[in-house]
Amino acid sequence: MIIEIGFVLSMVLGGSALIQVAGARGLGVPILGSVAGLSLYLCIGAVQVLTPITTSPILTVILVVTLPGALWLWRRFHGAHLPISPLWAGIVIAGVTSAVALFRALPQFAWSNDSLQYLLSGSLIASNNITNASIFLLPKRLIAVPELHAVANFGDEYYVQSITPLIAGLVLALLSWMLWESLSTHLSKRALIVLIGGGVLFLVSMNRFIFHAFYINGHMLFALLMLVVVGGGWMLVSNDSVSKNALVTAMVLSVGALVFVRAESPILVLLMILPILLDRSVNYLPKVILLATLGLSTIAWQIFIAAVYLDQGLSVVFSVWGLLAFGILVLAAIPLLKWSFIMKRGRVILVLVHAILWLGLLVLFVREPEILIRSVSSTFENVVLGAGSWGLSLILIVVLLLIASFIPLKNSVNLRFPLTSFIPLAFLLAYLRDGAYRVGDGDSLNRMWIQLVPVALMYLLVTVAIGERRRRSAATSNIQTTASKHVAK
Amino acid sequence: MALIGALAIAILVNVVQFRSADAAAPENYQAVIRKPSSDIVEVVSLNDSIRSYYGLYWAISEQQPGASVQISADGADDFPSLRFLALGYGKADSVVLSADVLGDSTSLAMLLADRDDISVQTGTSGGYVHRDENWYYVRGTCSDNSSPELVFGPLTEGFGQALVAVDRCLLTDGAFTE
Repeated sequence: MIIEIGFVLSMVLGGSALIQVAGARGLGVPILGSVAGLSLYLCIGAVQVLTPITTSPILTVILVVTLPGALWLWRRFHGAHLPISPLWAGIVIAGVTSAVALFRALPQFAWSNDSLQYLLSGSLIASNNITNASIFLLPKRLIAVPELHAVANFGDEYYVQSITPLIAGLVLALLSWMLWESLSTHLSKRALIVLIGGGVLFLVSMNRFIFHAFYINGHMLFALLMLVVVGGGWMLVSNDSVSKNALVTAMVLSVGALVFVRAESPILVLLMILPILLDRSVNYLPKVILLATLGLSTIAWQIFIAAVYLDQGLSVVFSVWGLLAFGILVLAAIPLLKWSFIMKRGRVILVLVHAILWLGLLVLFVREPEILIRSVSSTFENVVLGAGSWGLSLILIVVLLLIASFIPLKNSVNLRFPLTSFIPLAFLLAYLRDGAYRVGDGDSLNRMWIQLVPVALMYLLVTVAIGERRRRSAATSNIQTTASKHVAK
Repeated sequence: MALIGALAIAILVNVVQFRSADAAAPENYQAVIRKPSSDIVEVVSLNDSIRSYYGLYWAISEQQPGASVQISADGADDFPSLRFLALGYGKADSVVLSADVLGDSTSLAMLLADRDDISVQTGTSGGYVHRDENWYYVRGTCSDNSSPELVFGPLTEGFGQALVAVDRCLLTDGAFTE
């Protein structure tokens, strides 16, 4: 248990130090800091895997504390105002320790064949043997989830029991914090508590959310990092309550980490950050850093995978070349961020991207209709008829989102675009993997839906809070205008 | 206000359907189910196909962690898979491809002959190598527990082949001496 506590605390403390230096204050320090620490851990671990240095998670833990710690001390030494509250620090450390102890005491976890492959890779990372993992493991399972569990091998275990439930807890905490920071100037405290409480209750009462909170896989991790990138992106352009430097730091680290979570991540991440990249109110530098992080990490990973194929005397598969080209194109697109012709037509480009995705799907459907027909039919059974254990949860979310889409919300495209573009992309992925989605809980698309749920809920709750208010404000101002006209008469 | 009401209804629906959603799912996809233990190897080994996939390597990691493993030359095609399985779940210290062939030093019949200086575990491979063929883990009392040495390779069994992991000390002198 000591290893596990040390591992989790290293991410919480290291990330908190980093995010405080970046400008976060209050509850943002432990919450956004924990996410930043988690992402930093995954990014440092990825550098270890991609370079000849040892992949030992002990080194990762040391670096995730010492690098931000040194930066924090250096900034403080040079007069930066970086306050520490011993009481809050004690509460956070005691809370994390108790949570680890609680989740270790629960004999509760969910697993599938994929889980065992992740843990196999985790064991190879711990023993500095990940380069031997071969094409059976690396291209499909990547390294982020294995990195999270690798440290358990030092305690003669294969998985870190508390990490997935803690990530689920962090999703709830981050969503609540983002809503609080974004809406506290618009709603009364009481209304805000009801709204956030409702959102949290909705998630914890959802069968598949609880399942993924204990499932040894990367879906909840992806959901958390996606919430940081998309929710953080929306906050970046919608309010000034949180330090923009802190948000960008967390977003950049999350983009870097996401690339190592799932094989299709680079494409999904581009769709997540596209609205931010095309938003003229966001400075050039954060956009460059986001795009460069995505491009470089994609290129680095694909080169590594290509080397694994070649090392085994095999020819490199098309998907590796394709994603390598994708990474290069992403880097090549950086100068376009300064091109006003593109920046002025952000909305048009987003519509075009949608159109391209649907058109691509249509072309593939015409060439090979069977895959899409079977995929749609299986997804219908999984989501609507109950074969995927969602019950009515996803249908309810979709219905509420449809209603919410009629309520005007400033910058709603930042929250909406990653959700709507996922639909055609999900079915395009069926073609790329050359196999239709199937009926049942284990189907990959059925498991991927959870990745969108926190962002969907954030969009819904923000719309409920601000969208309606805007409408009311508009109505109120209309009444006031009419009244003043009467007075003038 | 209407959306807040709808959210409240959604929460209620989630709660009501929670158990029925679990009931429809296979055991390992259920949201709330207490496992007999937190030991993942113990829990997943209750599943036959999983035990077939990884049983050999988990048995080795339990009895002879840190082993030096040599792969028989005629198992070269399986070398990449055997290497990551032996290093990952077998907790082997090193895995190398040998120039020797296991079948030249012994046979399955010889290894499994009625003798009291060995212990044998067996199962059916279902994973990356030797799918649907038997695997045998033959451990000798002669092995050096401080630095165990194992040889992996295919041996003839009936009309097919079995994957065998055997203590090097049980083989003919001179074979697999790196």
